[in-house]
Amino acid sequence: MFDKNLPNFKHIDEQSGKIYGAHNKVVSINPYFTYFIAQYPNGLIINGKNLFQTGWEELPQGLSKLSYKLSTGLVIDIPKFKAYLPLIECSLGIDGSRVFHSINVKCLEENSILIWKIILKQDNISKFRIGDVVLGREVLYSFMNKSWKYTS
Amino acid sequence: MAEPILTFVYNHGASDEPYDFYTGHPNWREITPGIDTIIFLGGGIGDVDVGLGSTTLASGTRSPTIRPSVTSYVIPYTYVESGSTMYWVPLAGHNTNRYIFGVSISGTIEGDLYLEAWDDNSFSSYTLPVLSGTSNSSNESYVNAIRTTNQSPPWHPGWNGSDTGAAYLRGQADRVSLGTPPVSYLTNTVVFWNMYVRLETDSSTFHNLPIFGFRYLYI
Repeated sequence: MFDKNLPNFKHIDEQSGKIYGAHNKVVSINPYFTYFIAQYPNGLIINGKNLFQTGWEELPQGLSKLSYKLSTGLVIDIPKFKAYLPLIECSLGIDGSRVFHSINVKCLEENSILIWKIILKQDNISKFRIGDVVLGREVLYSFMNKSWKYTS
Repeated sequence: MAEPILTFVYNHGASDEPYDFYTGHPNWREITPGIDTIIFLGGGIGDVDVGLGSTTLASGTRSPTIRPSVTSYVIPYTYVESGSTMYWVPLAGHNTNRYIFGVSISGTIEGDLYLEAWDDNSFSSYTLPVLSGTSNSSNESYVNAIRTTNQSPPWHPGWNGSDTGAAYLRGQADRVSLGTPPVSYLTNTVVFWNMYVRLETDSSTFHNLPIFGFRYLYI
């Protein structure tokens, strides 16, 4: 079983983590301080926990707004859709190291699924920076995962 | 849900039998992250016929491999170094064996689990000679890996990175999906793969330490 304090993030106590590779330097968000913010019509605001234990499953249905707060302080507001399903994309090395690449927020539209891909790391090779949003689209699934959260 | 827990395992025995998610298997060992290392070696002077045995000391003389002069060459031995001991993975290599390396997935992965190879644990570059390849490898990586979760590798006469479910491992583009397709999710299960390194005659001499990484999605 893995320790949650993995090598790439073991000693992070600042807002972003630096990972020095042989050919590259990666700067990443801190997964312990990156989480969602869900707002409800009655004014209720529920914050997620972190990227290890997101807290998404415990979130009630009927939210009115979804945002993500990154450890850098940047808040990314996602427009209102019919429903959301955020997926964390990460890599785990066989040496126990880990990098968080993005949060892929699937957003349900009438006839398709729009994907808001929030970038969580940057380096001197990739053109994307932390906090960039890359949009994509998928066809509707034949069945919907029970973890989708519908808006009010 | 939360992040799934992945446990890396390998078959230290000579029987091509799977590791069971619930009961494991006596011949299989866990890879301890941060301590254990997968090593491809051997075939050089002194061990062509006898190899290094089931286990050997990690310190002292380590069997080298060779740079071939006439034709390409599969590095013959795969070991997992764990502390002061190296454990042979006898079924690994350019063969039709199925249950060699595995990832035990506790929890749920949304979609598939992907095996990738990178220069290091920044997971951002793949410039090492073993991953870059040479003209003789069509500039493909020397690392061949194939999914064996659903079936044994094909034999015609031997599989390589271009086969179905296989890749010449390098970065995100050349990777192996480990679940039995089509994959919607992976829950409380084990996925398997086989792999080997083929050196070409135009290879440089090198000692590389790339990293195997696993990319996945979770809620």
